[in-house]
Amino acid sequence: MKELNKKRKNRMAVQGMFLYLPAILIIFGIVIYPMMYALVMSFTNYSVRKPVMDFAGMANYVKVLTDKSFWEAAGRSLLFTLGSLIPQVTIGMAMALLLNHPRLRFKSLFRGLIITPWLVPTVAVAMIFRWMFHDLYGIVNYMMVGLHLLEQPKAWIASESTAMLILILANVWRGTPMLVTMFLAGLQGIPGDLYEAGRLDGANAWKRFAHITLPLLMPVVMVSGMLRFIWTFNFYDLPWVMTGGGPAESTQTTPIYAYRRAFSSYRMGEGSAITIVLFVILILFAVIYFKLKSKQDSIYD
Amino acid sequence: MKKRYRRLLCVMLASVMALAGTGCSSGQKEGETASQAPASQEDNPASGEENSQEAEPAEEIGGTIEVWSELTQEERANKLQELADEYMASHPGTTVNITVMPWSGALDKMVSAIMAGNAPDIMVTGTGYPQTLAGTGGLLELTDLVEEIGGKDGFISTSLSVQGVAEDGGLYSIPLYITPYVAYYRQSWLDEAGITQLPATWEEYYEMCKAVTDPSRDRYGFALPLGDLHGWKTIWSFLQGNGVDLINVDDQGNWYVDLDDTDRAAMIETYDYLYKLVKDCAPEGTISYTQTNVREMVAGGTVMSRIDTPEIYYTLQSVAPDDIDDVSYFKIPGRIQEGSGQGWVGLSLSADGNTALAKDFIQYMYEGDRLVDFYLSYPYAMFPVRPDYFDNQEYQENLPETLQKMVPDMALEILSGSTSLGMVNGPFPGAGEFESQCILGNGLIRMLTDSYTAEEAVDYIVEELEKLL
Repeated sequence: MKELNKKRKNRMAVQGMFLYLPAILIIFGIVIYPMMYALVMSFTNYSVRKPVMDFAGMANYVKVLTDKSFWEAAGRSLLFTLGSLIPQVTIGMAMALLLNHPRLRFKSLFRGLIITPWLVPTVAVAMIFRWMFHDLYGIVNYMMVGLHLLEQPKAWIASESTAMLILILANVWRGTPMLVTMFLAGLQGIPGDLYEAGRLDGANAWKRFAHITLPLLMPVVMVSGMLRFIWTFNFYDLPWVMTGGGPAESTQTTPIYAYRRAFSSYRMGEGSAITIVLFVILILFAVIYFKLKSKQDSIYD
Repeated sequence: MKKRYRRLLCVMLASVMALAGTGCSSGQKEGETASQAPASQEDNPASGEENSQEAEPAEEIGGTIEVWSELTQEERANKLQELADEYMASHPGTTVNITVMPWSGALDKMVSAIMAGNAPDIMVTGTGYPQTLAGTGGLLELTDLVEEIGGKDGFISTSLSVQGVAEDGGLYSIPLYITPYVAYYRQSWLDEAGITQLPATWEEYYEMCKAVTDPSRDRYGFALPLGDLHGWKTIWSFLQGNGVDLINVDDQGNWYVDLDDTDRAAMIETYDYLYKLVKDCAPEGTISYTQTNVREMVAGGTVMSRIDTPEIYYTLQSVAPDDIDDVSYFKIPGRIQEGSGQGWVGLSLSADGNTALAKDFIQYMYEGDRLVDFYLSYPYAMFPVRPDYFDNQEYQENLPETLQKMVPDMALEILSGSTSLGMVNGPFPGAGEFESQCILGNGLIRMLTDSYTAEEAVDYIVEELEKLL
């Protein structure tokens, strides 16, 4: 009997392997192989103009890591990411609490509407914000001048001090609904009994939020915040279409830097080194993400 | 323990996925360059030619060629297709497949296709493309074809001898069309400002732009698209007008920033001039405008003058057709010489394709005045690359009225004295990067937003250029 079970198990394992095989082959072909190739290439000075794999040692890494522009771009990426993330989490949580309020009517309608910005393509968002903040035709200037908040129209996207702000604003507008959805899911997982018990113990709304909602929602906040951090740090489309990294590189984030530095001149060795450096940065965040995720899982367990 | 391994595996997989996202785009294969076999041997009677320069022309021409064209506008795309159809009709057994694609990302696609060994037989190339693509070993050297279609002297100066040449001195692209840059004005605005004569000097140009600028009426004399890579067209034209070469090459073929004291002073003077022009005559937002934005603002009557190709008339046709007669142009004023940039498009051939048929098709295109109709299909953007076409009666008679004052004399004068970015002294291999990194424009932006002096802007530009060399 034992032998029979063992045979069956083995057969199942072989079957399983066959079922996995296509996925494994695809992952190897489009993920593992390019990754390994990029790693190898990062140690060469391969370029399209000189397509020879000459070993260059750590030269590409030294070049990237000693380039002031790289660190400036990384700093801007961090500013863009944190500048987007903090308002997204704060506004997202406030909206989720509102949408989860037991006395709110037409919940389904509002929950449907709230997701709309997330459905708008990034390129469209970038173009809409460009026009809204246009110095001559933009509605923002029109309204602010009309309300006497500004004496004369301002070139928002043309100014180094405000371009990043507008970029962050556009990203907050687009990204908040995704967090609202995640927070809502988290809020719905908190048992109503806890609130009931809180009420019986005389806890007011703020105390119920601070001592029940927030602690139980924190794992969701951390996990979704971390995911959003990784996405935003790597976000290319919005800054590229909206500002192109300008004016004078003031919104040039790391992905734009990588594209410009590596792919406009097809220096594949240098480009690969940049991707590896970014990879290492992302690994750190991936590790944090999985640590938080396991913590979240244990709380719900 | 098992859980820990699982977690570790998860982290590794997530990391691998993340790296692949950033790394796969650089995954070209080593050695897959010119020596690769063509995608389809059957379609390639000329296969086996290691180097077409040395190979004898194929006796029988047939099969299929693939053409990648970025001429997306219907008028000219149709004309190119008509040329292909006529060729196929007169050459039974041949097929010319044209794939139309946008300029955006076209070079990347060509590089990838060459590296992957399945490049199209003919590629429509833009400025700097031949220099980049030739390095892959995937382009065919075309000296023999140029001789077949009238020789080097049959083309307008730099359009062939600089734009189509790569670092090794070989010819890798045959010019298809070129476009001169001019400065625009609105007659009604000049009339209002009491200006009766078009500017011939930088000072007069500034005065003209300043005179019509009135922010309270949303009217600006000048703008340039500093928000995208097209800003160089204006700045380069002015630098040329002030005799600044900027990039040069020594006898050993080493490129260097060529800025002696005189050139440096001229460059500083140019940037000071442009700063004043922008500050006093352009909307503040010009720093973030794209080329399309500025074209729309010129056509819409917010901006009067900019340096551009005559393509503004296409924008006028769609935005303000009634203003077409009001908008006109003149040669960009020079300081110590006349200067202008040049738009350029050429044709390159894959070294691994059906080279015999591709060459024959190109020869067919350039025979007689066959290209005249093609140029007339999109006349504001496409000017002939051969001087004799400018004298062609059919070409002259069918040009739009707004272009007739330019052809032939003004156009030929501008085109024979103009160069593309960084190419005054030859085919600078970093020209594409020089353009895409907006180095000239960023220097000016730093003056406008970071209070850089012109000297500091020039230092910044030199520093950035040296990174490309």
